Amino acid sequence: MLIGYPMVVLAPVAGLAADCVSQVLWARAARRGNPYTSLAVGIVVGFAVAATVTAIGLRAAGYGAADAAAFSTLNLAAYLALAFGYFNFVNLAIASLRIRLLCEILDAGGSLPRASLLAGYNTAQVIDLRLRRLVGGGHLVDRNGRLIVGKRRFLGIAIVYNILRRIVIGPWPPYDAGATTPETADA
Amino acid sequence: MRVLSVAVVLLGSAFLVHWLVWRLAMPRRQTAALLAIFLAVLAVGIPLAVRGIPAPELALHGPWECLHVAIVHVAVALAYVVVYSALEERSPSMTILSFVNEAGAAGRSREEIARVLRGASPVEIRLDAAVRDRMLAETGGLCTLTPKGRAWASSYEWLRNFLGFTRGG
Repeated sequence: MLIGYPMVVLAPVAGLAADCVSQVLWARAARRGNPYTSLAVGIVVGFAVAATVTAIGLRAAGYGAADAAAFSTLNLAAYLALAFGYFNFVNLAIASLRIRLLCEILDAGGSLPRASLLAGYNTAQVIDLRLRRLVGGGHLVDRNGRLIVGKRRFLGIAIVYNILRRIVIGPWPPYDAGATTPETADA
Repeated sequence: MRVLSVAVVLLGSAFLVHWLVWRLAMPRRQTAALLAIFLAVLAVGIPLAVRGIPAPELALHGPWECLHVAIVHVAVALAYVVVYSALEERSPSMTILSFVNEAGAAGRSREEIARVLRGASPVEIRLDAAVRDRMLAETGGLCTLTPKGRAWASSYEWLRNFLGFTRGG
């Protein structure tokens, strides 16, 4: 029987399944719309399912307040981690430059000269696309031709990553305008 | 509380082993090493936890408690592997945000931002990374998809069409 504690154990997985299904359904219904809307819908629906299944399982199992709080914390962490993984999996299809390049080569029959890849998808386009995305999303705001930080959500993530980087690997090398800078990842 | 405690101890141990290994000698294949560390800690930790080692009061009872710890551990491990990929290499968007944030209210011009990113040559860097990760083979300036690269490209092209997304990057 899966009622009770087994439901609590499987709740994050149920939440992930709901996240995936609802994200896919929304994305297919709103074709060519903002892809991040479908991801947001998925995360919210998945969270609701995970929380509901957790609550039902805890009630059926008859746990006390302390155990219920501990299990809820565990499941919240597990669901958010699973949802984060799914978000990044789908985000590669949206924003990954590496995936884009691989698909361009696939379209061309499996091979392309490096020179044509560089000519066809040059750094200026990459920069322009990133800036348009950041300005369009409100993360940067144009003030008389100069860009300042707008919404701080993505900046907050960047700051957390900078701190983690410092702890795990070491500080980033400084970026020097015009000099070769560290490798960049897909985002 | 037992299950939460065991999960926290196992994850903490995995992060500690990861940090120590990175301090001693950075692995060449960092993602594979991370996965190996997290899974090894789980494989060793669960049997110990079932036996109540080192704390009998934290012993796991039954397969469902073991599965609960395993689900949390694997979920957090996979999420951290994703986060780690952004720690290895600086993302263009995060570079832009950090660079603009450092200027405060004065902000940055588009040209200043472009100069910082232009030096990174993101397209070249990704092509080099794809060759390093054996998704592409390059001979005489010609980039050819390997079976691994073809599988990635085909899968994501299918996913993009299935979800109705425009081609990104």
